[in-house]
Amino acid sequence: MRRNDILLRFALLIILAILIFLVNPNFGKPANLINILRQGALLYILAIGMTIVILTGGIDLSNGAVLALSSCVAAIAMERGASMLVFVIISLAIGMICGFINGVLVTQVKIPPFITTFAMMYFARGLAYIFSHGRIIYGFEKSFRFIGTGNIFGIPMPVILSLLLLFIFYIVLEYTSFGVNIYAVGSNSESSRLVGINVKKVAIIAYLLSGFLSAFAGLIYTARLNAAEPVVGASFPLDAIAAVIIGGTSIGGGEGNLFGSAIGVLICTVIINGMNLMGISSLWQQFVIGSIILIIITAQTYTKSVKINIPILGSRKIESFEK
Amino acid sequence: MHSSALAILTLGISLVMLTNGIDLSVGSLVSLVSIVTAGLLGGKFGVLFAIFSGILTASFFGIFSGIIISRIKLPPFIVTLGTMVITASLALVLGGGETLYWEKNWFNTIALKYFLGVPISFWIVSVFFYLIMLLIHYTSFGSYIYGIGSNEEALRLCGVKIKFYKMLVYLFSGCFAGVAGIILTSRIASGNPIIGMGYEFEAIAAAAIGGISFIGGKGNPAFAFLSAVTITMLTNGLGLMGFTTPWQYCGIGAILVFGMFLNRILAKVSLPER
Repeated sequence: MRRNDILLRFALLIILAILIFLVNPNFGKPANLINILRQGALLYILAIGMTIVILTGGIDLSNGAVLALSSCVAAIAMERGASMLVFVIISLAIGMICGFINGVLVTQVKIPPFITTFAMMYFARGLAYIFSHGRIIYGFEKSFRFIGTGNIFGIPMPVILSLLLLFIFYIVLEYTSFGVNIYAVGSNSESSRLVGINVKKVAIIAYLLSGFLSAFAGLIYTARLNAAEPVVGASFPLDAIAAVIIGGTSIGGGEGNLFGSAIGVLICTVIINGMNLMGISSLWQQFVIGSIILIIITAQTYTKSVKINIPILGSRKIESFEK
Repeated sequence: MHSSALAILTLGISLVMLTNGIDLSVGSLVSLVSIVTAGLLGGKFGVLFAIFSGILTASFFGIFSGIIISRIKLPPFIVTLGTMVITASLALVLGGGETLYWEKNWFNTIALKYFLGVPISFWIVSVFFYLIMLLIHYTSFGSYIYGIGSNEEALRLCGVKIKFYKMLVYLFSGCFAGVAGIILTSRIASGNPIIGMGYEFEAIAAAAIGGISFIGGKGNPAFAFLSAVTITMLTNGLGLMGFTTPWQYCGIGAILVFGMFLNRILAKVSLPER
């Protein structure tokens, strides 16, 4: 991703923020700004996983359902008397198992990522209902709830955690061979295979990370609400995809980065926050976000003066050399 | 009867997918059509006018995505994601987020009547299905959309108006979303702003299980159509066998994976048709 793509998005974010500030000065209050960061943090953690998967040329529609499943199962374990540490481990393990299954189905059985993760979405959601019997499980320990509701120096914990994840995954993507492999697999899977990259392993790890991050977001969500419920997160996959696309990650894979996604998440959150402050009906929110997607992608095409003719949805390269 | 809406959506989507595109907006278009039609019926407009406007609205958004995709050359996934959220929001805004009702008239019974033991809605869908099959097998349109999917550049060099045909498939997809919206609206006898939610993914999954390739150029819309009917029958069957909703969810997931797995095996056993 080029520097001017990031600048374009950053400029859009600033312009939006200034416009909203001019209409309603309350927007600029520190409390509100921190609120925006807190609202964006959860979506951002999901967006990190989505970015990694999309970079490899895949897509993950299952993150909301995996979030629900992992938090429900872990909450039941806690109800049966498991300690906090066990609770966290179970939750993250379930996320990773779901991600691993996605990865194996996509790479070994060669089912398109779109279908695999769509099926996983149904599967995980169903299991979440079955395990929890459709009820809301509540009453978590105070020390656990700190990761959702606590503050350090006035900065909410979710924000600190998401910045930490941004830092870790930025280093992983930019400075490790695994990160380079992810970009390589996304831009040309066949040549990556020929230079000796284990393409399947890279893709499996990408889905595994997405599952892990979904479960991690689930922990924060559970801690903040003090409740785990099976219905949560139906809109998360599309919210995350929208934010990632606004952040400039190419849907065909191999192009984009985590800073872009961070700006994408902030743009979405700022719009929603601003519209709430201005008292505009929440029904319009999606309309504005949809328009922003179309406008920013069109603008990007023209500023690049290069045609984007990447078609869709992963597995393009994988399938094309099987013919 | 339950399958009519999904089947016609799948038919539209499979045309789009043959050209190496995707249309995520059909589900929200169904909602929008439902609201528009119900709103017009509630406003004492004629039934035919309401149906016509509903389908026209959906076609308009279909052609809108089509023009952006073919002229500005943006990725179909992103463009239709944009139109998807825009139309979903429009459906909510226009209806005020509420369910709309109207005074009962003959429109309410279209989806409930039977002809020769088969629901009228399925007859309507079958007519469209037959027309599309004719179009694909007996006109150049058919070869062109397969051609765009497998090698767009070559076809462009042959002098085929790529942009026009690309636009056309999105128009079809939008128009079929309109028909599906009318059928669903008639069945529930009200305008519901979120009725189409999730239909886009189901239709794409049905098309993929029916053997339509995600990279275009391969597959037969007839199989996609049949697989949409089959999937609805299977999930309906799960319900009749007494499985609760959560188990049905798991069942759908399993059916999807198993169906795709079967496709992989079949592709290895027999040579691809086209």
